[in-house]
Amino acid sequence: MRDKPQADDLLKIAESTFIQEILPYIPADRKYTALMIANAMRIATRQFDKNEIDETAEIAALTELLGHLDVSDNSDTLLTLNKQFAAAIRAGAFAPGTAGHSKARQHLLSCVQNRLAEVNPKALNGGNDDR
Amino acid sequence: MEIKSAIEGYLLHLDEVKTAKITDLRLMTGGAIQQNWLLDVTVNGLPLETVLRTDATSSLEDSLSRVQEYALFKHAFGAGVTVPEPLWLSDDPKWIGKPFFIMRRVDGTAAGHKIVRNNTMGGGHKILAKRLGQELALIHATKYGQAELDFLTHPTPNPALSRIAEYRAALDATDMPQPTLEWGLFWLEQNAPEPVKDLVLCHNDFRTGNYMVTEQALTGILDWEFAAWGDPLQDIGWFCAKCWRFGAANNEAGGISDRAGFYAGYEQTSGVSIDQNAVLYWEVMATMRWAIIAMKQGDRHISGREPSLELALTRHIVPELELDILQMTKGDSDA
Repeated sequence: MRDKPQADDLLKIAESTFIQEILPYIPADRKYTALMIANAMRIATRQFDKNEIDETAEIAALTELLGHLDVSDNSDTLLTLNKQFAAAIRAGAFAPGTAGHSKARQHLLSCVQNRLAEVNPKALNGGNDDR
Repeated sequence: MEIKSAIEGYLLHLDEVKTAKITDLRLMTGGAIQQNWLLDVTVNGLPLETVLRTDATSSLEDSLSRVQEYALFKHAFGAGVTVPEPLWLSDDPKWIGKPFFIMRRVDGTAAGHKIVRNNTMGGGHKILAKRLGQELALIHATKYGQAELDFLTHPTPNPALSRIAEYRAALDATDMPQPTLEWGLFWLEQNAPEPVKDLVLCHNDFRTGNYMVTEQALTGILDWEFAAWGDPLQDIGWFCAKCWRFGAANNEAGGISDRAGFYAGYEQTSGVSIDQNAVLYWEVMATMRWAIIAMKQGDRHISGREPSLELALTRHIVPELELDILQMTKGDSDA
């Protein structure tokens, strides 16, 4: 068993210490790099906070969209379903006017929002009706 | 410093140069694909402020060589486009080991965030937007068929469909499926415009962040390495796309102005009126293009070929672009 504090906690405290105590002393020509470091640590922290993106829900949604009912437990299920989904989109199976169009779009929107919540939550607050 | 004497040696071998002494030579920041060196040199007793441009370690397969870029600078300068004056080109590896060209240095900054935040830059954002419209029209005045630019890519079968095919090939080359980008590409295919009658010289990276500007005026259009023949609206869409407004989303022309001023400058110089709906198509294409580039840049880090924090973070720009694509392609019946 690991001792506490562990990765998530360490990352969080390292990030806030870096921002508060180091960033003000970084020379102007290295500020951009310093901000990138802080951003990377923030993304990693959010990913720890959220644990895993809810793969079960994504698998269920894709299964419904693709009409596949037999989902095995193997770890490539999500990848396989997403590959099939991508190919079906390219083939026009979810074109405007088809039965699955609206649901497919909603699914994509929700997946994008989940990823954005981790990598750039500010982009979720644009005030648009979808956001 | 070895490179210093190599460059002096190069300059001295030119017929018009009798004496050359470098007074400053420094690698400037930025440029994953190209290296830019600040080069101050006294030539024949006269001080000259220049930039030496050469290849960096990594290169994008679809970008132009330095020799081709120099030809474009020469052409654009001759056509009256505001670009740094190209002075000398060498494609002989004996000097610094790779091709390079030297151009006159222009004043100002290209930093997008700074330009967008400070509305007095370029003589004021309104004036700057109009001027950029005029500059773009001057670039587009070069029609397909110029012999000196015959190295530029001709889109087959047409500007929109060739891009869709290129981006689908890029998606096929990655391990991870990208359903949202496929969604956008399907929309782009279904809504592709009729091919334009006259292909023109497209800059293909004409946006805030790629031009130099002082407080007073625009001083130079930079970054010509993606230029190709194309539909003029593809440049207008790239300039106006939300992803290139540097956070100033309401200023739809490059984050610096409304569209009207930019369009007015373009229309005045070109005599062609801009169809706003047609531009929107190319803004979806622009967002798609940036998403594909960001994905490829991320792959360079992920594959271990080129470990880089900047490349790693660029990969995480993709979801924001995907959200833009989903919103821009939303149909009337979509919930």
